Amino acid sequence: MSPVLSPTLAFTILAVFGIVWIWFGYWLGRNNRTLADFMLAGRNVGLALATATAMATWVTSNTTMTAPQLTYELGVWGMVGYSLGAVGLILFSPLATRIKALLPEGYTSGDFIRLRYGVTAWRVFLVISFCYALGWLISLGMAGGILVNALSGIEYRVGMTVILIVCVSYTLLGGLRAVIATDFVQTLIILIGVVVVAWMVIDRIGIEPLHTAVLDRRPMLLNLLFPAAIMFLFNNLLFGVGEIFHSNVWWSRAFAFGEGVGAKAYLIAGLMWLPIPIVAGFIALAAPALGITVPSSDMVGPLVAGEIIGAVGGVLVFIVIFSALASSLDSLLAATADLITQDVYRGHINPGASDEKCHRAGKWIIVGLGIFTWIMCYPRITTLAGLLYFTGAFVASAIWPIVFGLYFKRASASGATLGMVLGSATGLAAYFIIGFYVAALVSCAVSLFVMAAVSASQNASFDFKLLAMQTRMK
Amino acid sequence: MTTSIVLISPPLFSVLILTALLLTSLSPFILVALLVRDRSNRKLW
Repeated sequence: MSPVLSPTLAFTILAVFGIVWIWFGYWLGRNNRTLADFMLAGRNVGLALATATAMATWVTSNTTMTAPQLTYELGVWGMVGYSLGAVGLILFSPLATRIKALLPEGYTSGDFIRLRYGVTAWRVFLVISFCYALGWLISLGMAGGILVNALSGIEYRVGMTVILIVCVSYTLLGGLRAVIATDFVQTLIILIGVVVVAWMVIDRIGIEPLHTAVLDRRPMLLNLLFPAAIMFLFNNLLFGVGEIFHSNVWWSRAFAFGEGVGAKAYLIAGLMWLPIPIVAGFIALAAPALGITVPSSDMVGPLVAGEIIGAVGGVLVFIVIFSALASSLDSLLAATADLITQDVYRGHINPGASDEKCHRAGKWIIVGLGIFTWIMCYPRITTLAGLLYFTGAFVASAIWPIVFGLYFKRASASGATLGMVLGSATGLAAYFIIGFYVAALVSCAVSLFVMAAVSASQNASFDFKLLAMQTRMK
Repeated sequence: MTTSIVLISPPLFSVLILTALLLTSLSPFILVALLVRDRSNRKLW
């Protein structure tokens, strides 16, 4: 593939947008005084910014790149299955209200697990959270390098480094406030970019000729009874639910959104996110009609976009992908740094640390996370989808401990701990023995069975009022 | 092993793509409208 824009132009775009995002982060962060300002944007985010940040964080480079990849591999069910990731956002809507009501002064998902289930479950949960968060961070960092290289010819490591530096800088300067505000602008850029490319595909090829070309060259992509694809659909639904239910990215937003905003924001964001992977995936189906040879399926999106829109449009694609990367990387950096600050630093290393001390520590942790991600991304480890779905085994095991723990007083600590451990272990076994498309399914089913069976055999009765009281006492 | 094949028809495929594209096209307008509303109500942050 020949790059769609020159390295000089790509560097100019990276520099201009990088400087704008960093300045924006500085400007928004200038009034951050407290830990809650820095970590949770003051706990009063309005509906527009809340909706946009939920959408933007969920529209990642994995949506703009992996949705086309999965469509190219699994066909129609690939893109529909990916779009069911929206179910996680929609189902999190009532949970966001419950979380804010139960822990009005909470900071992280770890706070809830620690207070609800105790120290052992909390530590297991932290291992799961970090496996997922770091897997996603590395996946995003690698996506940055790969996409910049595919679109502009800039060396993989250089592109990856620049993107990480920009995201770390503005997250460091502005905290969650900067992340949320940049997410709003980035959401608009992503939506406009994806829509423009898709309309150009229709204009250049047409939907029915595209359907005919796929039917001629790769008919399985249009098969509605593609077994692996149907398994993928259900697996992806559970994976998405598991990702959102357990991850501090979404919990920190539930704490940050204003009173009554969380439920509406997650619902609207889910409904607006639903069609995006279908549009992004549709772009991949243009490859057969355009006669493009796809050397590696994770490159199909940029290849089609480059072929369809050429040099001028290449700038648009580049900006969209940079925005998609940044909107998720910044959220993940901020939320993971929060988890390390609150649950590792204050929870394990320095239990008496004041908010001021945690505020300072949080900034160093963001820098450290950026450096760690850079080191891990330096070699390109595996294909993007492979790395992403590896974590499905972990996250799906946390769905039931979270749901039962939020709503049922009989959910027990040992049930939650065993559910997470056995769910993750069997999910991982399924990943290696059967395939990536069943890891979350197996993990979720085993976790549900274990959690329900163990909790039923015990006679736990949790008082939910303790959660709010204990977060205040901390 | 025999694998069954049921292909998505061109009209159904068109409906799926065009509906998704139409909804995605509307999203930026909804977000901007919400932003304007929050700003005028001083509920941005």
